[in-house]
Amino acid sequence: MAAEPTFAESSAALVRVANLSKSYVQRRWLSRGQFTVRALEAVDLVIFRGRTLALVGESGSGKSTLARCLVRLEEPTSGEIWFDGRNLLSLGRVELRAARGQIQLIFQDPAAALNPHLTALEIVAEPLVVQGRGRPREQRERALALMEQVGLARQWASRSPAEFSGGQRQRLAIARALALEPRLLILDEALSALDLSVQAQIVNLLLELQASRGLTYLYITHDLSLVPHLADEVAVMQGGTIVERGTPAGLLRRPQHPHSRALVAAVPLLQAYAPPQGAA
Amino acid sequence: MRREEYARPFRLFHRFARVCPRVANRVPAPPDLTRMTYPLFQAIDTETAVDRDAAPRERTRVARGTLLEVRDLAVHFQTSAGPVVPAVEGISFDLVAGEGVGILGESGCGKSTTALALLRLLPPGGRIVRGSIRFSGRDLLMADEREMEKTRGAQISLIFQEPGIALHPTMRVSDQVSEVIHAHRGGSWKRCREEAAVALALVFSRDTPRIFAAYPHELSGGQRQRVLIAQALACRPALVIADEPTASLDMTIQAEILALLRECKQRLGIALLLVSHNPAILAGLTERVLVMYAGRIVEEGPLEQIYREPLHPYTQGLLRSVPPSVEEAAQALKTRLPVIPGNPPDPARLPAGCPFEPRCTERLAVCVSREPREVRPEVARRVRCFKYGG
Repeated sequence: MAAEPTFAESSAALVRVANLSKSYVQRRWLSRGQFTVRALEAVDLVIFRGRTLALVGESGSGKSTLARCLVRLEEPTSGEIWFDGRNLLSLGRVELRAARGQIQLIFQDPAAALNPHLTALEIVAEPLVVQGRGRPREQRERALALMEQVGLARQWASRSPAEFSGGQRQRLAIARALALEPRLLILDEALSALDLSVQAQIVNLLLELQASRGLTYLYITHDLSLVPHLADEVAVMQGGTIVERGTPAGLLRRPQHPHSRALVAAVPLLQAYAPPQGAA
Repeated sequence: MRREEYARPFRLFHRFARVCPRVANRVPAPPDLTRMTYPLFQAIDTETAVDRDAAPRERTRVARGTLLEVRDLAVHFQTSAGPVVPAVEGISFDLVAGEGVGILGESGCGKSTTALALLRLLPPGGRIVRGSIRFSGRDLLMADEREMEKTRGAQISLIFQEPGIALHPTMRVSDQVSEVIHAHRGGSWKRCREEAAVALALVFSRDTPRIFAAYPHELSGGQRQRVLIAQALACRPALVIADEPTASLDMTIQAEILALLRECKQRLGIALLLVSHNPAILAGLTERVLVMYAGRIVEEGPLEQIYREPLHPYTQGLLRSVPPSVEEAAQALKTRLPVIPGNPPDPARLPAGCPFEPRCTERLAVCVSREPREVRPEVARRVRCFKYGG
């Protein structure tokens, strides 16, 4: 798999990030000096249609900043983001609004990402309402169908988010993200707050959705253990740059960069720890 | 308000104090750790020896026998309008001094409730309705609140899940650790600070003076977790309860914290009760595992035996979700993961038979009608499942 396709090849690519940089200028309170934090430095990325790219790194490595730049919640300092042949950074307000429907984010903590005052149905239908798609009855029907697709029963439509378990809330967040028929789903640590058994269920759901809808995923995580199940390619980030990329199997078997090696060594495994030497 | 902003006036005060010496006198300077004579673990070892001479009878009794003995413990929650929720329903287990025991299970199975009940720190509405908790020979449920206060943090301490919330945002790390020692041991503040410095030096290999003087917001998540561990170990408890101590941390930091806990357990001889949903976290830290489901212990046994040959279908399901080795993890080329279907049951609406029956892949006819009894298929193992004659 070519890590760096040329522009000619890029029809297979849904997202192409070229030379993207983002820096924040910060000032200490009551002090004159200022300093620059380079969150992203010249990042190049390609995400292919219908595939999954896993972006792995520790906190503070710039993974989430990249995700926020992709949906233009942050304005990059320099660089280009091409989405489906269009430069996202040159879009005007109206075009950007339409483009945002194509890229949806799912966050780590579903409890914080869902409005506690709305019912499950209202949450899933909200993107349709905001974007003004369809009449209220159609929106309702669509939301109910989406809930069923992610494995939530229709009769739960009037429940509030607090009445769901963590895994069910994440399913609800996925249903909401799917409402606008996006092409790209950004999963920003979407699994790390969940129990192992629930993580497995959500991974299977994401795989099904990808197969049935041809979705493209950007899976952002600090945990390599689910990457082989979910991703076709991996990019390892550290300090705002991509230090290694390859296939999940290749990265797990032969990590090249020291940071990748540390990440592989930290994967929780049943055999990783020697059994303790007898009780004290 | 974000924590950083919350602490700003205090930072300003200390900056001001640097310029104005009269104020500076009120801010105690951290002890110079580079000039401290005793190396880390030696300091602790010698101190335990002194304690042993001072009270030889009590020490030996604690060290030899069972440290914690929980019998038929049941915790019910009374919600404002709804029914009584039996979160923990009649669990029994023992813990020997210096031993590591893990509680494994999904969220909502009563693991954290058990941990909190041991310290009688249940949230409002929670009540221990029956059972006994004997800790080094005395029943904690009979103890009055003053006695409990002396036990918590000194003999049994708890490491919380969220180090960001468990630490006080406007107190320096040094003061927060010293406070624990001061509350339990008394003595001069200066002496407490020195002991706090030793406790911190236990968990940090470098940069200790800076961390000693820092506020929690100036530390990373892993450093905060280390401070919590230092707090928990400061009074040399006999038992440390750790409730998902690595849940909010990066994987690499998680591995470091687990290694630190393992080292503390081995070198200080502290018993550890570790609560987790991930079987891999328990491996290497605990010798025995209790598997909890719907407020019951469904399987118990030595970790190695359980991990090699799990008996209960629930345990089998939990263990299947962790890859055994890097090589096997690498072979999963976008394949589906084995799952336990469904969710843990709502403890207020449990099925009539075995609570795991609706999710079980190996159910028998009898599973619907009644709950399995506990059976002991092997020495030191017990399981609640009809497959083994329950």
